[in-house]
Amino acid sequence: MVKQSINILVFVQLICMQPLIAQDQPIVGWYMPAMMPAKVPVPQLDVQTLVLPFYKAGNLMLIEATVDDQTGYFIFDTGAPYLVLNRTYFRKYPSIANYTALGISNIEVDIVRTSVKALNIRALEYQNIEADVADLSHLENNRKVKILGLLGTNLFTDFVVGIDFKAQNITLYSPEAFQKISAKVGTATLPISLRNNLVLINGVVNGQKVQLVFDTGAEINVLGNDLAEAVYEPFIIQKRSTLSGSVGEEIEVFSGVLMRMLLNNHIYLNMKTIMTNLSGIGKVYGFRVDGILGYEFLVKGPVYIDFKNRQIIMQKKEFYE
Amino acid sequence: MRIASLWLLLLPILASGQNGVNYKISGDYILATIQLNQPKAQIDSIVKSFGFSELEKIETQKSELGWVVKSRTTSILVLSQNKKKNTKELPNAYTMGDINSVDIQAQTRADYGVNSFKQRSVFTEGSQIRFTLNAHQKAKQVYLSGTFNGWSTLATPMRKTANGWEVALPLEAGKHVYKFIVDGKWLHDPQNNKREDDGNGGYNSVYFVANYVFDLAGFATAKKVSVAGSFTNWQPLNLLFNESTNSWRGVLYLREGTHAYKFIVDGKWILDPANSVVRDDGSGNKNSFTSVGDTFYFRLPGFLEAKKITVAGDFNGWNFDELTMLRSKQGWVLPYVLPAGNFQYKFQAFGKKIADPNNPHACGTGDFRNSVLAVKPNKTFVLRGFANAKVVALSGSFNGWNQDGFTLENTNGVWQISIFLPPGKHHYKFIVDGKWMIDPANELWEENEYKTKNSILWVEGPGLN
Repeated sequence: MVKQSINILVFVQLICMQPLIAQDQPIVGWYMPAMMPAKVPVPQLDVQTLVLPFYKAGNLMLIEATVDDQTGYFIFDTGAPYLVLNRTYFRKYPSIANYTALGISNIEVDIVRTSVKALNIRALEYQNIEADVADLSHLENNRKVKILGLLGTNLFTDFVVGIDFKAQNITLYSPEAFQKISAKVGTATLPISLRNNLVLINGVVNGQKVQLVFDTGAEINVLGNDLAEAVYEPFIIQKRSTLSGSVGEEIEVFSGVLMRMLLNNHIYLNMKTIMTNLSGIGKVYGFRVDGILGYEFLVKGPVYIDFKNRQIIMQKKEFYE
Repeated sequence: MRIASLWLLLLPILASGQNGVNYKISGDYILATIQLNQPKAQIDSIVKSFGFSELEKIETQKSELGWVVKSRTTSILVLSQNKKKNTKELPNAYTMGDINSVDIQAQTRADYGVNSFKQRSVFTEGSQIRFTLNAHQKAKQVYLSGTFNGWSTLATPMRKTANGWEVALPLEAGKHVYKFIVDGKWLHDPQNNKREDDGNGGYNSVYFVANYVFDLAGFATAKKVSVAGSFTNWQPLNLLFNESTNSWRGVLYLREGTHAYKFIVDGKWILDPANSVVRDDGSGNKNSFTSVGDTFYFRLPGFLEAKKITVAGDFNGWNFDELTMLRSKQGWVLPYVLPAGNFQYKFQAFGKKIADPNNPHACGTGDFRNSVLAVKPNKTFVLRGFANAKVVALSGSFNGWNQDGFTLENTNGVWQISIFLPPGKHHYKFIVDGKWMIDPANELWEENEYKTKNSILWVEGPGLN
């Protein structure tokens, strides 16, 4: 068991005041790993395309999968870099490595890294992959569904991932299979990059160059609060909320609707968005995060994430309403 | 310090006053314009929410949240904040949006239900309910998903038939919400007229498994017979059909409990001629009464000298004047229909309220000690290894984390209680001689806000086990 002290600022979030959890709070979050797994998961899939219907809990996509002997719902979450298991159901798993990381306010965090023998998502199989074990209980309590874990990005980077909220399914294509249909599904593209297994959309929003995280686990979009004024011009603030932070301090969050976002040459209308400080995330990862696109972006129409060719493909439209 | 989670759930401790406050971003600043022609109490709470103590001399105060007074007239107050100064570093934030998160308990709640089909596609055959989809014959795989299997996309595959697809499974009486999944695509039942919003721009289909029959004999020449009752908010329900030339019948799902009702025959409201249970509604009208569910017998042995004994509980608003018990040879009894659930009750004799002397399960202490009864219990909690404890109680999300809990009964050193738990997730702990602890026999637990542990358990929906 290797114990490593890492002097990276890992942002750690704490559950605050659980009895006050109000129902129906949109969830925005991504998983902050202390260290990337050493092993890259190797998917085994005998078919060229695999359709995964998902259960929509709030604005989250839940997909049934089996880890060893447990079957249940996992959140399809590109905001998580790899497989993350809900500690409540995976306490018995031995840690293969312990990381003690220094978080904000000098709080030390224990992250348990473990290994699972098998992960099966219908016909898609993985053997002996690494996963983190973390407390995801508040996601369950918030969405009132049993959640066994998060299916993170590096499980899917061999595929073209099609997300269709209307049909309520995710389709995994082999690159060859996608080639055959790509002209049919869309000719509009958005360039993406993959850093630390986070999907980043690099673009220009209302005139400003931005780096946005594409996070299927974000039920609402997020904008950083230090961008150029032009970005906020179409942002209508409807509500200000004062929330309780990790060490008792009060934090303000502004929520509203981004009436119009011009991302590269695509126009998106009416996306529910919150504005907050994202510099903490940027510090941890070592690159700027200017915003997060999630459900509000996905629901505008089917998108196809082509990891190999580093782009998101969708239907060309005048605007995405 | 062990950190429980890597996702932040920020909770509103103070929703900002949305009345009369407008926000605008101007350069690096957020401007909040507050209308001052509102009730003082409202202004005070708005001003407090911005981190000031009061409107008076607000210019001399310092806001904990970094707001500054920009301008003030008699009708408007403008505050500003440098948005970049909001340095609380939170990569994750939750906001007060309206996310449609419907749980199975809410989806299956209904006072009553009647099915309606274009062409019947769901059939009740004894205890089995058969779902059919006569379409998509060329599909590779079709699944049935619904509230009865936790909306699983895998648990209930349908099998191919000559006309399409079908599957049969046992379902209890009640409301069931479902959809088909055809080659990975969700589809509501095209033949079922009963449907509801699925929160995703489409529909879920609804099927009611019936448990009640309304019969009306006679009225051979009537054209239309409906029923109306407390369960329909007295709106007529066109439920009954000519069963034979001289009788009418209607089948439906009716929620457990007691219901008032009347028939409406060609516009005329009548009591149920076959039902002797008739009660005044307090306004001079009489209604027929029926009840659905198991009968529980409240019993109090002895007290034979008493003239009147009543029983009351949370099922009747603790009204000790309402339910008079009947004398039997050994004491007193009252048959009463209760729906599935956990109830507290007490008897009243000689003006004094007493708990049930024969019920080992109670809640509360002293004068507030009530007896606890579970109707249709579906979960038994057992605690071993504490044979010598004096009092063991169960407390959890199902009883509001009651400080005293429901007491368990000790039989040969093993403590036990059976209660009813609706489908979904439940949190609980034992209280052993005043000390709270998790269930040693349950490997599932979560850390709570006090940094101690709660045991958790999931109860599957009806039809799953």
